[in-house]
Parts: sequence; C-alpha cells; structure tokens
Amino acid sequence: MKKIFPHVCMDLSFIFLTLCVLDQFNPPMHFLSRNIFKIPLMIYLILVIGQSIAAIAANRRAQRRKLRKAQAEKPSQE
Amino acid sequence: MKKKKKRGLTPLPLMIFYDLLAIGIGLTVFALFHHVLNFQPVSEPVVILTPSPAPTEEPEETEIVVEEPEEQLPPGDFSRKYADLFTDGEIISDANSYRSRDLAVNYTRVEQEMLVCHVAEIYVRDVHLLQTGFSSGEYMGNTEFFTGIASGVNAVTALSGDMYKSRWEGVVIRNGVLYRDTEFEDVCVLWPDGVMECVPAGSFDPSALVAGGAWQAWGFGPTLVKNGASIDNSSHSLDKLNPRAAIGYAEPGHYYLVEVEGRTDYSNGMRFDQLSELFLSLGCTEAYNLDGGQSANFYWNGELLNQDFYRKVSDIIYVAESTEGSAE
Repeated sequence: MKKIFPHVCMDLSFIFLTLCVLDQFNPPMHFLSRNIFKIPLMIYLILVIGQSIAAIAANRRAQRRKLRKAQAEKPSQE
Repeated sequence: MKKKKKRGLTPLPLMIFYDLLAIGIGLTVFALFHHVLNFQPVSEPVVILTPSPAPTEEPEETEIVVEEPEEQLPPGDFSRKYADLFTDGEIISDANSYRSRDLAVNYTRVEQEMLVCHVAEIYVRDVHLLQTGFSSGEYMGNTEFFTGIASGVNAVTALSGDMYKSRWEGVVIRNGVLYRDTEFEDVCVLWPDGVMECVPAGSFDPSALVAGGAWQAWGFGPTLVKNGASIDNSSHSLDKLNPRAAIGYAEPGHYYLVEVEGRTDYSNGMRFDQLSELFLSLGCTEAYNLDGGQSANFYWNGELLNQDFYRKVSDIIYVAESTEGSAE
C-alpha cells in the first residue's frame, strides 16, 4: 500500500489537471461540477491527507533517528 | 520457514508506463460516466397547454362597412399569411426547395473562402410543425446518430439541437412538454403564436414559460441577435472558430436553421460575431446558438450534408409534414 498510494495520488492529480484544462476549453460540458468529478476528488483528498500524514511521520522518524545518532556520537567525540 | 522473495525496484520506464495506463483508464472511466452513463435526476414532465387566444378589443366603428366575416385563425396558424408559398396538397421539391400544403423550405449552401454553411429558410403553416425530436424517441433516451433521429421522424430538414442530455442544467421544453426548468445561460423560447424570443441569462422565469404556453425552449446559447441587433459575445468562452448550429427567427412562422461547417480542410467554422452577422443579413430579429462543435449537423433531402464527426446527439430541431392531429 505504501508503494501504491503515491502513484494513485499522482495519477489522480494528472486526471484532475486534464479535466481542469478541458473545462477551460469547454465549460458548458461541466467537467468539474458533476458527481462523477466530486466523488474521485473526495477520495483523492482523503488519500492526499493520508499520504501527507505518512510523509510527515516518516520525516519526523528520520529526524529523530538523526538526532539520536548525533547524540550518540557526541560523548565519543568529547 | 519460507524465505521471503525480495523484489527489486520496478524499472522507471515500466513504472511510468503503469502510471500512464492508470491515468488513461481513469479518464476513460470518467468519460464513460460523464458522457454515456448519465445518471441525471429526471423529474415528471409537465404538459404545457397552449392557451386559447386572448379576446382582442374591437375598434370603435365610425362607419358601417359591410365585410365578409373573416374566420379567426388560432395563434400560430400561418396558413393565410403564407398562403402563396404553400401548395394545395401536392409536394413539389427539388435540390434546393420543398413546397407542400404545410411547409415551404428553401435550402442554400453558402460557400466562401474556407467557409461552408448550410441554411434552411423555413415557412410553416402552423408553428407546431417546427418540432424537436429526442434520441431513442424519448426524453433522456440513449444518444443516437443525428441522421438516425432525422430520418426516423421523416424530417424535411433538421438541425442538431442543444444537446440537453450533456448537462444537468438548461431548460428543456419540447413540443409543448416541460421536462426541465433550470437555467443555463440564455434561453430561447418559441411561443405558441410563432414568436421566438431569446431570454438573457438571469431573467429566466420557468413559470412564465408554462403560463405563456411555450411550444419549445432551448438552453444552450449564447443569444446571437436580439431585437434585430447583434449581441457582443467576444468574451464568451466558446467564441472561437468552430462548427456551429443556430436557429434564427425572422417573423412568426418564418425561421432559419443554420449549420456552419468547421474543423475541416475546406471550412474553418465561425466565431459568434460572424454568425450574428449572417443572421442579420438573412433578416432575422432573433437568433440563438445551439450546440456546435462535433454535435453540429444538418439534414436536407434525406441526407446529412456536413462532414460526419460520428458523434451521437440527444436531440434535433426539424420540420416534417404534419401527421393527423399534430398541427392542430
């Protein structure tokens, strides 16, 4: 899942970008106002939130590890 | 203990391919739901009754004039007005004209440099002969190829309509039945007395359409000509060279159907101001743009005259010989 989520987010982003461009050219087709657009958009937003939380958590873990490593190396340097 | 098989990194080109494939599938599914499986809420159609003619005030008589009492024709009956254009019952037609008891249609192919348009000038005996047809014969029916709908209703001439099915908004009154009363841009109304009126966006009142007994109402737009003057649509998002379909009104019972070819190697299409000019040159006082692009189609003499883009449409505007009771 960890591997797939970023791809799903990216693919959905491209799909929405394509629809935004199409809507600029042909607004009467209402590409952005139908439920068929809104439902995937909600899924996408939830995915992005999950992905962002996971990315933030991963960053914090990496920072903590870095800090611990630095703290562990400090006394040996003294 | 089973050893877990370690999977290496997916090669980058393969990963990009998978992503592109997923995007393509996503867009296809979207198109399927957006264009084909259209789950629009359908409300109960309302049959609009054509009101009986309002009593007219009689002028004060100053002198006694003995005249044969003229039979009062119902509104929308132009049998007397255009009597010299109609025949006694026979059908006379050639490549560019059609005359019968009910209809007089003149077809003109306009050709200029990189521009081809088809113009049908229509006189009807009765306003109810200017009809609209649905794909699959019913409101919200499956979309069909234009020629199939036109030949199915025995149209003398036909033009693609406002493609009501592709939107959830936009008024839909067809042949005196109200199917949808939401606004989408300007509205074009054909009243039972044969007057065609373009109502600007924002001043649309569905109850007035029902009360007035509207025979047809289309919701696409924009308005091209209003009260004999061209409307400035230069800031409209669709104001580019495109194939066009539009309807014009000269006087009660006298209408124009115009299709402009575009996106071909022999015709570029028209912008809105060019189309407005065309209608003004035809003597129209009101003109209204319908769904253009690949939806724009024109039918005359049993043939599709424009380049076929093979797009299925949801509705057409046409004139046909009256069947029993239709033109009452």
